[in-house]
Amino acid sequence: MNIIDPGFILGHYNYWVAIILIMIGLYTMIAKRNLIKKFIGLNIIETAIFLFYISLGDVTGGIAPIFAEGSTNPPDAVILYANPLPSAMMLTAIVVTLCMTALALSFAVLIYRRYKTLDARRLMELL
Amino acid sequence: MIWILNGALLLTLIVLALWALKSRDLLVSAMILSLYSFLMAIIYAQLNSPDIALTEAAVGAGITTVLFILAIQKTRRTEEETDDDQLQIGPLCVVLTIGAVLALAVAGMPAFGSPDSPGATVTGNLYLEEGQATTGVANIVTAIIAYYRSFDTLGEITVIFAVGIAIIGLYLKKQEGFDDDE
Amino acid sequence: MTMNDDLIVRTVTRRMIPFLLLFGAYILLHGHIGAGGGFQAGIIITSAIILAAIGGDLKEIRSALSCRTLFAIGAVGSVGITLVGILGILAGGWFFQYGSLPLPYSQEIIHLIAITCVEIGIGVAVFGMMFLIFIAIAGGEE
Repeated sequence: MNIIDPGFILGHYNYWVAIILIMIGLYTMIAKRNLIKKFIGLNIIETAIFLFYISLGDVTGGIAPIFAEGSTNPPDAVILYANPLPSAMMLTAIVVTLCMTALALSFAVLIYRRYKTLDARRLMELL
Repeated sequence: MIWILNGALLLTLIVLALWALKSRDLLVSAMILSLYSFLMAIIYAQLNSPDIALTEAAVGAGITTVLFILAIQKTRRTEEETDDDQLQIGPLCVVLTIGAVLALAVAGMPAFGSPDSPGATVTGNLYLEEGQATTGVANIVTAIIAYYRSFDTLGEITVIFAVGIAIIGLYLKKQEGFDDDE
Repeated sequence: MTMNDDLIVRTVTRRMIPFLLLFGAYILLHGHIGAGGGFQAGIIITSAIILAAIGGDLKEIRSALSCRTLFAIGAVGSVGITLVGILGILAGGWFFQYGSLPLPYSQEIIHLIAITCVEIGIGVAVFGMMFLIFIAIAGGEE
């Protein structure tokens, strides 16, 4: 496969954007010292991962996996549906992300209340 | 022509993520993250998963932003004086290495949206073929969440429950005067 | 956070909350037909109540929905889902196998009823726990 092929690059553009967003989020998490900034980076990484999975399940010319009301028969092969499994798994992942963010932020509030700083390096000195 | 909209939205996402990274005002970062989540919801809807789009619009642009703003209000609005503004070589090397590995992995994958990619294969997909006949639910994502993979849902609810217990343990103990400051 | 003094904010929030709650109920009960489900509905209802707390009086909301009550609501949702799963065992099937429930309906309708029950349980659990987190972070110090 030719890496320089423009069709190859354009055919994967969602994946490239997801990778770039993961890189931005990871850089935020490693390089920034403010705890809340780190959590923002974490959120960016997570949405990028969702984007990656949702792109996996999509199919060109397909429609959302919701059947029209009243049709009880299984769909005929003519209609293409997007794969519902990545959607369902990412729905669970979004819940876990929300819980993680909430818990992390409440820890940050408690840390600030006690040590009066959110700077990771200063916290390491204080601890 | 939908790919023009899609590409513009994706480029805007990258710009917003960089803006959230650069801004020293945490409140601005949180609001940028809200806008980012909203654009991401539009992209999800365009990628044929309205459930995720609805969830992302409600969670990312709603509750997460509220929690971030609350936390910023309870702490401080600006970052403390640090020298992490300029590009740091060490983290950049780590991030570029990981990005290169991910790019190599993606290079072996089938093109986005191609009907024969494993993620998008519809034939032989049990959920799509007999999901509605078995469960009577028109929205297959709901059928998967509440019937086929209900153990996932049970785990998810357990996570929510555990977070509730953790919050109770963290905050309510403090309110009863059990404060061990220094 | 005290009572919001701005007349516009107070009025707009008071007028918007019923519609948000209605939208949440719609999302909850139509999860099997269109996009939506228990989790989204729980989040939307939570945001409606958070709007009430921001635009109105946080103390009033806190006295109506104390942390204890919210934790109880969340626990009821979580336990309810487990109970629906255990009902499957009692009816002679597996955990979360609804098909064998002894109800005088067709297989499809039984699945539909059980799935709606699970969705409502998810919504209730998410509402209780998420609003508990909001209350705890917002009003930790009195």
